[in-house]
Amino acid sequence: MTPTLLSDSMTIAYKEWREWFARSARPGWLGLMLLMVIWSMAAPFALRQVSAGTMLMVLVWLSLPMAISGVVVADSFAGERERQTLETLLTSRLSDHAIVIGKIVAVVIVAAVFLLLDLAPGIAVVAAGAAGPEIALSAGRLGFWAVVIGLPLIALVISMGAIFALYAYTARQSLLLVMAFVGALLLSAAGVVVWVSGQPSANLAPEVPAAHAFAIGVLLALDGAALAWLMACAHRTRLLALR
Amino acid sequence: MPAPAILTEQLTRTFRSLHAVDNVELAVAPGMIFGVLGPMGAGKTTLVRLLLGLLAPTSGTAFMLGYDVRTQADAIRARTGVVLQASGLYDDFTALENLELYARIWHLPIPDRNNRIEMLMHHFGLWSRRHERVGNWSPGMKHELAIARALVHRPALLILDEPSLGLDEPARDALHRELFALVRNEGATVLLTTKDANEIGALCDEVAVMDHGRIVAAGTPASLVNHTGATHVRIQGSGFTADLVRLIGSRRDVLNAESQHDSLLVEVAHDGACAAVVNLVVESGADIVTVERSNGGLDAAYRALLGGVI
Repeated sequence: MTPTLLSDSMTIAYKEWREWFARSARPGWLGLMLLMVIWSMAAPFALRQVSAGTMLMVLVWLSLPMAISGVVVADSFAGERERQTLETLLTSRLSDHAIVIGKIVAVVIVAAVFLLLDLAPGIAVVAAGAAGPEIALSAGRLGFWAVVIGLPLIALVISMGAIFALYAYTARQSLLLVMAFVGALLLSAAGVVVWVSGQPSANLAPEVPAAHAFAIGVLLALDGAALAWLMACAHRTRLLALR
Repeated sequence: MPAPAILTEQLTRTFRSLHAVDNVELAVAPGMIFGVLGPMGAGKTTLVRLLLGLLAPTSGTAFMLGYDVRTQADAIRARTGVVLQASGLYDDFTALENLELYARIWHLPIPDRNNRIEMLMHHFGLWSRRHERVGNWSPGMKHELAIARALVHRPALLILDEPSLGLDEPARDALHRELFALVRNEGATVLLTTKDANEIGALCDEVAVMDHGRIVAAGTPASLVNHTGATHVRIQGSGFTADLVRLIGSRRDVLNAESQHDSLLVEVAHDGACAAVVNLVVESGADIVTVERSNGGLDAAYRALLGGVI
């Protein structure tokens, strides 16, 4: 990455943050953060009789950050196109890649912050034993898995969400596609967890099982493929949805 | 003679069976204000997108400032300022933030950036409102800010796609004055598209009339008026019935006919049609007091061109 590309990407990322966190949007973000904290803390209580302490709880925790990442990335590409600010940006000296990388960086950092905000209260609840003493000791492992699985899952949602936004005609269409993708991804991941664990209530093994390592490897490969696809198809004509 | 700032040869862009831009040939000299005049759907915005490398031509060639739009679009965009139909401003940003963002994008050094922004905002009378969110601004003010944004990096070429769309007449006139003064001061070449012939007459050194993707006429505004020969005929008198107006309006060489109080106003495509119109009025039994004939101006010439008369 050249210094110019880096500097241009950061200009775009900064622009994205300024847009999202403009004064008029702040109450909405605060409400969302509150909802996320409640969701995170309620999950261990809701799942304690079913599958508390398992990977399924990790997926429940990840669902909101994944959905938010999908919404934000769809808005970043297709939403900006509909607000008619993207075409002017594309008439500037910025390269296609600087615009795309800047937007992706902006979404990734926001998603990472939301992931931490989402996980911290839930793990604190588990560690305090409020959801049952039997899983209090697995709080560290849950946190580990949430980050190890959460980051590549969210990265996949962001890359695919950007691709959907490039191919969709409208922001609404893009949003529907990315939400369907998040739903399918979560259901597939839950299926993999059940398959790996043998049963929904199985506790995590302290070491990384081969099947888990394989699943994470597949996820990282999908991340790489999606990112490569995005960078290959992100040119001005497609960013503007001109066919 | 200097190389043209914009040069296109048989530039064509099709969308399936639609020829949005069809064999367009343009040559715009540096420092000129050049207008592309045409109705909605004529292909003006597609032409702008082709010239900026946002769309690839289906065939033909185009050079902007000596750079090929197919292979050197980055170099073109680096030297061009653009104002599109939508202002492209970020509504949640203040006016100052909007300009600062683009000054950063153009890598202007900070002291130069601040001076330049202040100069441009003073020119458009926006400096005192620089800390206001632009989402609440009128379309006229947004257009002015968008033009300031397009000029922030001192472009060699300025492209304005329908710059006065949605503006009322005073706002449009003010925009024209400011734009004209600024562009002359900066020495940039300007390409502007519009569907308003009066805007072309007020601003442009040369004009190309575009319809259905093709250039149907080009030249100075005065040469177009002379070439098309559109003429206004004002007949004063009485007895101008609705049937008579309809009959006159149905002639192929009549562009427009309407009655107002004691007058019949007819716009004809060429001088030869005047006598035929007067004959029709006489034959209808209406009384004629006076007949005045005058040149119809660029607007009439434009309508004549679009009517397919020439």
